[in-house]
Amino acid sequence: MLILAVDDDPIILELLQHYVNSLAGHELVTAESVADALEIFKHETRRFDCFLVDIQMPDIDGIEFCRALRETNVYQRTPILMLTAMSEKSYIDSAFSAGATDYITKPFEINSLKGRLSLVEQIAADAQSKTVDRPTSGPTGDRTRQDQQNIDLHQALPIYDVDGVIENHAMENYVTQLSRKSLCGSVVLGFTVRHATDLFFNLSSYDFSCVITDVAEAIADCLLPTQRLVSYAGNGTFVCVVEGATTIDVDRLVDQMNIYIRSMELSTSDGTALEVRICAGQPNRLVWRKGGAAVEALREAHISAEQAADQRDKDMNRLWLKKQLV
Amino acid sequence: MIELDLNTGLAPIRDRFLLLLSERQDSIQQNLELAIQSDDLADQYLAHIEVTLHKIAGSAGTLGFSELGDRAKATEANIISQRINGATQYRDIYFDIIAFLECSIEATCPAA
Repeated sequence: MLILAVDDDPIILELLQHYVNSLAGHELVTAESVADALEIFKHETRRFDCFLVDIQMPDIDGIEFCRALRETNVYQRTPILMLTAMSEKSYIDSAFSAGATDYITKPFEINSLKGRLSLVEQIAADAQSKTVDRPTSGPTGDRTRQDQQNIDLHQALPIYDVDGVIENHAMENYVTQLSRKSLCGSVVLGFTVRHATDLFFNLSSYDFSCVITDVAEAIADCLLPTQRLVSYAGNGTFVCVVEGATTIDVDRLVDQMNIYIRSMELSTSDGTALEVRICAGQPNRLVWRKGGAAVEALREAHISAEQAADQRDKDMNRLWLKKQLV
Repeated sequence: MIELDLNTGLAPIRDRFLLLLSERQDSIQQNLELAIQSDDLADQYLAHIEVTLHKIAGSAGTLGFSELGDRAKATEANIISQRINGATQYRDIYFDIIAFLECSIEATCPAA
């Protein structure tokens, strides 16, 4: 991978150069500031596969740089690893909200860096190979239909330009980071689009992606003003990590989200109106979990939301049958 | 074996870190003196010290100076916390910074 490291500490850049040189298949370019990095972009003809970015830098900090990279078409999905001594939760939240893929806390070890780089290699390869076809948030009718690409129902589609929504692999890294700090006070919650399978098979891939993007926006907006991160996990299901929600009135929240979705007046590319509703699983308060076990909480939230959707359908059927019998 | 090679390769970076540390110690000391002398601008000088401590904390541990890195991080956190709490008296922070400077000299030149 061609990696760009941006850090105002020359010792860190030397360390990275030393470590990356020892790993086969990688090349490191270094910059001591965001301004230096922008100069490098002007002259470097190759596209970078990965970024290592310090958070605290004079003038433009690493979080702003990360956000700016995500706004470009070229680096929308390129892995960005925040390499920083800031271990407070607020910094972790800001970094992931800005689009960071992962977060490495200084001082770092060679094995940790090596492990993280190998984890993002596949993402980097995907980012290089795929042309971004991006349904962005906004009224469905305003969108022009772009090149159709085949998607899978279970695929965790990337969602662009929706505040508070991050990619699913970044969400896994986020909860893993939190588990090393303090998960207490955070709640994980799943939401699922009811009859997502029907929607998937009846809509074009593009229209399905648009529905998912709009629902993501509704979820993220309705969870405000609480600190929240949302990701799409595939199969019409979203997982969210919400901070400081001691008691969540899930039913009320879901009603609010469904009203929001209805107000969006979702439709297909040919103007056919869509009736989209979501339901939620059980909220799960996160407590300290070892390493990768924190990711398990996301899986549980995913399953819980889908079980809730199934249960709701069964209840509706039962009610319908009862009415028929009466 | 690879690990050994990697650590051997770190020696020149460690040397440069120590050279830079000496400059950083001087910078902290100067800013500390200025902060003590001018109460009005103390915030500004402490901010410079905070940035320097942050850099030391970021690389010291990787280069084998874990204690120094931890101490720099703790002192930086103390400055941040005092700033957030709107402290007007910095006496305790000054002592903390002096303790850090002493610790950094001991950590890097144990014979001194």
